[in-house]
Amino acid sequence: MKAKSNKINKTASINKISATPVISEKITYPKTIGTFLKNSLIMLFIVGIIVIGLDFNGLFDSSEINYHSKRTWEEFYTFTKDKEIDVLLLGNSHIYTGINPQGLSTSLGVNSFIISAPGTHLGDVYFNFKEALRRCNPKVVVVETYAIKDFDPYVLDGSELSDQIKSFVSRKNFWLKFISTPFLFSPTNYLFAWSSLLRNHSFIFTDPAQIKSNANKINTIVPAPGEEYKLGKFIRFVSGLEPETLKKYDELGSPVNGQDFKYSNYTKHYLEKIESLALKNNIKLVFLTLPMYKKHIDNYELWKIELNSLIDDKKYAWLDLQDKYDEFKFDENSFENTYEANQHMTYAGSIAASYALAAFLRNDLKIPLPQRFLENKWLEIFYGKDSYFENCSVLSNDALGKSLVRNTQYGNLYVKEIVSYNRRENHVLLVKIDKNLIDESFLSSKKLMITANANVNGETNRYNIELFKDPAWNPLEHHLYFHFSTDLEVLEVIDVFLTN
Amino acid sequence: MIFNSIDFGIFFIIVFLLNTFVFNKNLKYRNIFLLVVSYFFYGWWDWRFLILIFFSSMLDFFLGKKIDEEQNPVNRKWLLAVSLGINLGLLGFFKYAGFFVESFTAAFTFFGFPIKSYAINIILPVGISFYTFQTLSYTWDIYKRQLKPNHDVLRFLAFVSFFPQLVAGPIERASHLLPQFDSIKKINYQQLRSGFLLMAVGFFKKIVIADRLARFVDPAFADYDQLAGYSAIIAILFFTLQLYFDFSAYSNIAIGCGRMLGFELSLNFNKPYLSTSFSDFWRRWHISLSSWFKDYVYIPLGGNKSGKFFTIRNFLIVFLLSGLWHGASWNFVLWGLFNGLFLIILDPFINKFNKFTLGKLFAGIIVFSCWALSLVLFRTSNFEQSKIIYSQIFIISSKTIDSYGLSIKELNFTFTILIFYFILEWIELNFSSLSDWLFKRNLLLRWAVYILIILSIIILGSYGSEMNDKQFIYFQF
Repeated sequence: MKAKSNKINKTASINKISATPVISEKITYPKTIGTFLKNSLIMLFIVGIIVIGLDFNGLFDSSEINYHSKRTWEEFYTFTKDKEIDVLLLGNSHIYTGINPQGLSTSLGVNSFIISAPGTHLGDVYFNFKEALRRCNPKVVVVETYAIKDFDPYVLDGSELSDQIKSFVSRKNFWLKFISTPFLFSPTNYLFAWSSLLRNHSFIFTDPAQIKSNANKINTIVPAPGEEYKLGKFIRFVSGLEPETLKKYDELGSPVNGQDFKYSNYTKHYLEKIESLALKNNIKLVFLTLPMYKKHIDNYELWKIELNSLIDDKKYAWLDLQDKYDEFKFDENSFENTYEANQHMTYAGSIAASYALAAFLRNDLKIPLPQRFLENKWLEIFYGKDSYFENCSVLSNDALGKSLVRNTQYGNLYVKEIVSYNRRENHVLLVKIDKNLIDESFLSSKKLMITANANVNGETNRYNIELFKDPAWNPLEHHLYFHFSTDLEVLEVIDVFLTN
Repeated sequence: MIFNSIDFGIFFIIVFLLNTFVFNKNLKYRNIFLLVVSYFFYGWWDWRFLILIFFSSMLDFFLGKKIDEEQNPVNRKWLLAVSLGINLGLLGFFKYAGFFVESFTAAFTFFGFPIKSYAINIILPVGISFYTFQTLSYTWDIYKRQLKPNHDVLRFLAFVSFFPQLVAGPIERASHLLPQFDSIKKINYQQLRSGFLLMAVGFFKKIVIADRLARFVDPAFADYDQLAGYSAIIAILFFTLQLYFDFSAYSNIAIGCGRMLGFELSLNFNKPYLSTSFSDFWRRWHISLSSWFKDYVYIPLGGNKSGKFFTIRNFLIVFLLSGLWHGASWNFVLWGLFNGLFLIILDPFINKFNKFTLGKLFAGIIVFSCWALSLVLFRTSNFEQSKIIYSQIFIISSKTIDSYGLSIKELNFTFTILIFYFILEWIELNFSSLSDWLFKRNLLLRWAVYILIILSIIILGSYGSEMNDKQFIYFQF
């Protein structure tokens, strides 16, 4: 009955409309506007499809040479297809130059990986952490404190914005990128963050060669099968501070003053979010402060007080290597040769910092970590590569390395292993002396020598060879001595001894 | 909020949809809505100056009524004087206080009475020169009994603050724009389409051409002491073109926006660079300002009715005031003076031969060149800088043409697109309106043109995440 009544009303109303010219106008009026809106939407759709098509095609992508964060994420996704990550390191350029993940992994026998992007902040760190957790389940996450700074994601411009966009673009999870967009950028930059065409349209005039190489798909950074994993490492600096730069510290003073350090409310907000994300996933959160050259910063104690108001060291695990500068023997070789405020670490510095971090995680925090060094997958990644022999034993004498001596007492020295291997046209000899059985201060006043049969230019003779100790290399279990030579290759060790 | 920003894009879409589907059915609500969004648009820049525009509008609203009601001519004059005094006083304070203090100090010092001056830092409210002239014309027209006052304060406030033309014109006369707030005009498809096309063309002119020219002009003029020879000539030429594309783009977008909201704004530019005499040029360039000066300064001073001497005097007054309107510096005054002199001295000579094609071309080149040279005063911050640039035009430059922000490739593109644009203007001037021609074509061609314009803006535009949204040049006036 009700349905019938509605039907009648409807019919009446249609009749009324058709009979009344005024109301008839009401029908045509929105139709014209509607046509315009419909056409506008179709046009917007066509333009959108063209833009998305060009973006999808990568025609306006920027050069991927030195595109560290993109390479890192590509490798991260490849790595985590079948491998777990135990120690995840997060931060900006300071961490990828200041920590050697191979060194950290081989000294702890775990998988560690750095996810970082140059010039970014704690907000970026949080979203990187979030995306990484979709692919791995680390036991520890290490956040480098240079990312803790005075930032406001909504006022970024110039190189800071460019760095943030590069980091954002590198991430691969569409949904996480989508939901993080309003937190990382001001609305003005949303489209720039998502579209390489909008960002790089000027390549038409400034870099047509890049468009050409994009069109020919020359541009690829996906790691090739079997390629050595970088694990987020980027060795940018191999030599330390030079005399000219060192002179500036005496003449001009420190370029960085601890009293200038500030952090924003955004920093505090994202720190809390990182903390709760770690807590929720049962991950130990550790903060790491990588050092600058000791004369590079003045009033570090003021920086530390400010940082401490955020990272309460009673609440959080915090390894402050600026504070422990002398303990870990950082020197001018540990730092990038620059007087600019933003000073990174060299490869040597990163080795020292990695050992300090490894010791902090294992000895101070006593975090139970898996023993992956027993797994074939782990050995496939690390065996014979950067830092492996310095930390771990040779498994079988092969082209990668030879164990010349193992667990042998020479006088008062207990030698765990003597390893010979070739690296970059050098014959390298490593002598590992058990840390537990000899005092370091005693060793430091002596020279370590070996007597060995060695091959020089095809002739074998007996030589006394002096080894040296690099303060950067400080494995957890043993003292490490080196000898490098391009022509002398040790074949057999006769004796190991100390002299004055 | 500036037109070439994402903020404005979002703002305008929301305003357009609400105006079209919600508010355009009831006059009162439509006017309230337009007033609110216009104040929002203006307040986005600095909300404190809303007080100023509100005060200025209310003052003229009430004075307009009083002038109309008042029968005593002396009292009417006094009321007009109050309107002129307060409006020009506010403009003078915000725009010219620093300039006058500096000039007085310099004059006293010159005559041997050095006085200590205090630097005056006053923020210039965006668009003050535009809306002050708009409200002034309202009271003046009422005084002259050429206009009846509006009795609905909301309509009047909405008229003064109408956002498409609020900050950089066109300077609308009350007799033209105010009646449009008195009724609701149904918006039709053709209006929307042509408004949209005007906006698209405006954005193209601003983002693809003007902002690209700016990338050459800004570093070139910043390097004024090194700017010489052909680099200087190109910098002057590019600034001349940048000014036109930038300002006419703003006008296109403003008129397009207005049309899409159901309002018709006045034409502000009519192919000025195809002018064949100075008087022709001033009929085509910033038409709303030129006609304002003609109606409210030149004609009240006597126009050309009182003999040659007074005509010349009136022209010079108009041009000096026009220069001062553009900016509080002696450079602008000189710029105005030069243009006045061009009109007075060169026009009689030019008018003798611009009757035939080759003569027109020659006249056009003279007009354009004089105008371009005068713009050096407009672009530089003081006369010393202008002098240096003028003196170096004929010196061989030590710098290559690509030293100033644009590569050879981009310069070639810029020249090509400029030639193409002016050919289109010439066709439109001599044959028919290109938009009318386009609207008569089939759907495929029409859409191809629309999409091509939009894609050109996206792909060839001079913008980027590392560039700030470039403001329109005329915002500073």
